[in-house]
Amino acid sequence: MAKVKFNNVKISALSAVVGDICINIDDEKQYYATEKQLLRLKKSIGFNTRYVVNKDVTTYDLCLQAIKELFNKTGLTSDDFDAIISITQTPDYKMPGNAHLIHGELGFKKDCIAIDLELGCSSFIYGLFQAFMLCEKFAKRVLLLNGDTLSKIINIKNRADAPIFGDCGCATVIERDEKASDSYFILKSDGSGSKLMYQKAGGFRNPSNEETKKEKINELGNTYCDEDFYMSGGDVFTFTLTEQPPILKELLEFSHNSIDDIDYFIFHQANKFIVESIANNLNLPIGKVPVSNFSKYGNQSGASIISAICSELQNNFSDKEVILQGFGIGLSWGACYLKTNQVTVLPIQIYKKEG
Amino acid sequence: MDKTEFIKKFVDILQTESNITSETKLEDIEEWDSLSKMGTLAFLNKDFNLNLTFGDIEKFNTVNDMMNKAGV
Repeated sequence: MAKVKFNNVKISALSAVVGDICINIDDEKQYYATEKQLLRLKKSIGFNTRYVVNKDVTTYDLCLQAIKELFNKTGLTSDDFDAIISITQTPDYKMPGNAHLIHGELGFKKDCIAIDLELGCSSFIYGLFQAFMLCEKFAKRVLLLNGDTLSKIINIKNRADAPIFGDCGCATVIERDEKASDSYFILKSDGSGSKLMYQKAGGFRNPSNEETKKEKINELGNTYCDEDFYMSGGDVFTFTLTEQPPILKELLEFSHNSIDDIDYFIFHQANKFIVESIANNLNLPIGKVPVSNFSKYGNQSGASIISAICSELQNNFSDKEVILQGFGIGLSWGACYLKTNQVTVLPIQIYKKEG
Repeated sequence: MDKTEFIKKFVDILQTESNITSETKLEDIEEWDSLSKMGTLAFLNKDFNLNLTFGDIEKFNTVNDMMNKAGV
């Protein structure tokens, strides 16, 4: 079972860059039948603004800016790292992955290994897990990159998904520190749900062709093509409500904590309704559960936990006991308990094109 | 929880101004959309310790069906 305790490893810095195009849901009224319907969605789901990228900006660009800002602020350089891990579902190329592109661009040394992984909304927890393992075995410092630009694979006329997702790229520094407190992780997977969220065509099973690009309209009136991101909303919600409360309880027990001991429960910011549903199910105190990230930036896939920390807890994330929890495509989910110490948290940055 | 309280909770989830009774057919409620179904799922599973799925919620016909399942 992936139930692991780490000693002597900690997060030391976090940086998040969002897309530079801000879309307000009030500018998309034409897609809704009535004003009342839109109001209800704003109130419950938390629709408000989201930040997405232009066609020519990629996850790589967002992550690169997040790293540069982080290096500026902390004084770290590429020479200080023994590994880079990139986790994205929207890489620049099918091969090689973004970790290798970044490694080349910023001149990381040959002894710094590049690792590319592919996951969505659980990717921060899975990335931390990998980074903590590397630090425990050999690495002094690891650079973790999480990000996605899902807005590029959802039709704007797909109102089930388009208003949900925002684009974001993040950089996190994880390092060995003899004085770090113990950290606890639990991770789980369920491949039987692999098609509840998926991109049907464009890979090697269903290669891209004219048919897979053809726009269709589903029974709810949403426009999509087979190369778009697909999500079975009701089933994904069932999964969330069935699996997220138990893993959090399991983690509290594993880390010898109670709800009262924890300062913040930072969930994947899927949307306001989902975060509140989990918090309500567990009777978590509302003040301990950041929830407003979605209404500002949208659901940023694996970058959302980092974005929530940068936007809501910027000066309030050090010397805290926190639980971070991600869940999504795969299906894949995980949670970790950390006692933070001297973490440099950069404020949210908006992407700026260089030159 | 009695039937009156159950209906009050359900009306809160729907955010509806329509009159809801135990006989009301779910498909006749304007606000009975996926958002309401998810809210109902969260409510039933938590308050009545059930393990329903989204598919189970879609199979209910009336408010009474839900109350029966919840044992109200």
